[in-house]
Amino acid sequence: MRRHTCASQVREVRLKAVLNLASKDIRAELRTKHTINFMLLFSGLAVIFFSRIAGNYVASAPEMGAGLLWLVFLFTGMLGLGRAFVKEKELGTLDGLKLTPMSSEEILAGKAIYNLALMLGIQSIIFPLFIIFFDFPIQGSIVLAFGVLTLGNLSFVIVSSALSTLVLNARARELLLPVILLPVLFPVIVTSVSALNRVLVGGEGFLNILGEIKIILAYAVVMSVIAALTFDFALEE
Amino acid sequence: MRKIYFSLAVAFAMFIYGSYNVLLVFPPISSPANPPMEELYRNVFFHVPINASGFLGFTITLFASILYLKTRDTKYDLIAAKSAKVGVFFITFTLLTGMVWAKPAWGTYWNWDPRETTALIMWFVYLGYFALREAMPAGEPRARASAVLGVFGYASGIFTLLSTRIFPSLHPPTLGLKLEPEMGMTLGLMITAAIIVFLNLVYLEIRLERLKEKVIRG
Repeated sequence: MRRHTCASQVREVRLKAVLNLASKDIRAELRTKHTINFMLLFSGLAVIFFSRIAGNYVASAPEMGAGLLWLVFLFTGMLGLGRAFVKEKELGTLDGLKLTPMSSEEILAGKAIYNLALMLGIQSIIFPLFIIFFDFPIQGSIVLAFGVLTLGNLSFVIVSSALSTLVLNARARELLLPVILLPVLFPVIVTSVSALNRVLVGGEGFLNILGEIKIILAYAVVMSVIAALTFDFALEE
Repeated sequence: MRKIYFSLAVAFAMFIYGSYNVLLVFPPISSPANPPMEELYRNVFFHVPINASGFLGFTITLFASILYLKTRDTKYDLIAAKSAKVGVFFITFTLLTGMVWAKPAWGTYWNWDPRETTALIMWFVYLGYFALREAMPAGEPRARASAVLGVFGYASGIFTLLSTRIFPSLHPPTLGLKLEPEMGMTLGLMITAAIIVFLNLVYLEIRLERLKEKVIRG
């Protein structure tokens, strides 16, 4: 009985540490808004450009819309998600972070939660903006579409948080990150676009896109496991 | 070095014998639905062996990466990098032979077929792998980072194959392929030859790298 309470206490502390790290980053970000402002500006610009260039085509072929929306998220994410660790490196606080009594998996989880918060913020502003600018005819449930987007972004932030530490010591890391990240993300982006299309354009329900959701979830789980197993090595110096 | 020459000579002889069979001996197959296929099927004897050795290369990279992370032995880092390099080289030719065949067979060079997609994405994953290696000075951090990417990249390849399976494929089934015994033998011969060439290339690359290090150290 005693051991049981001990174990649950340890787990509680760990989750608390993860949330502490995430909330530290979120609070620091809300204070300066260095990253989120740039991400929002960039994604807004991308939507405007896409709308002007391809808006008419999307009206006649709405299947294009989900792909374009994901491209906006992808580019914005490339720009901002790497910052979670690069920022610590630039400020010289990365070593301090490593010295804290947190395991590397907890650090990764905290950073991924912070990144997810960023992407959710972007998503909740850009998704409506996208619908407005493209005058997007929505057939299915918006809530489901938002859920599918969130699921896709979850996989996105897990992989990008893990891989962004690999380029910390590299030259031209801003250029390098998309090159190594995009091919690894390919399956989840394609699946997510397909699921989003079937909801937004096809008007299909949750059960019809279950196949896609399973793949995205499996991807998220497998990549989290790989990230947790290899993050010790990635963070080492 | 003598062993290398010998095994390469054996592989070359196998390749010549196989090519002779494929190009001059085998009769055209009957394909009323798609007449060009009567002769084009011969491509399979070149396409499949290089593809098999290319993916073998990526698999070796995966295991060498895991072994590197476990043991921190630079030997495994070298194996992983060189195996990926030769693998990318082979997959390039897989993609080319596939495209040349797909144009008359499917009417288009590129079709986003599950296998095509997987080969292409893996190709990009490992080019990214080299980009990462290029951007870092040789040493422990580089070996660690690329080993981690090697594991992620392979997993992503599996998911690419899985995710494209939702859509129907035009690619002929690999395992259900029916061949005459004579043709099957030749295909086996060509696959063996390609794998021998592959392993020798990896070995030579590793040797070259070791010699380079020796020269630099003086």
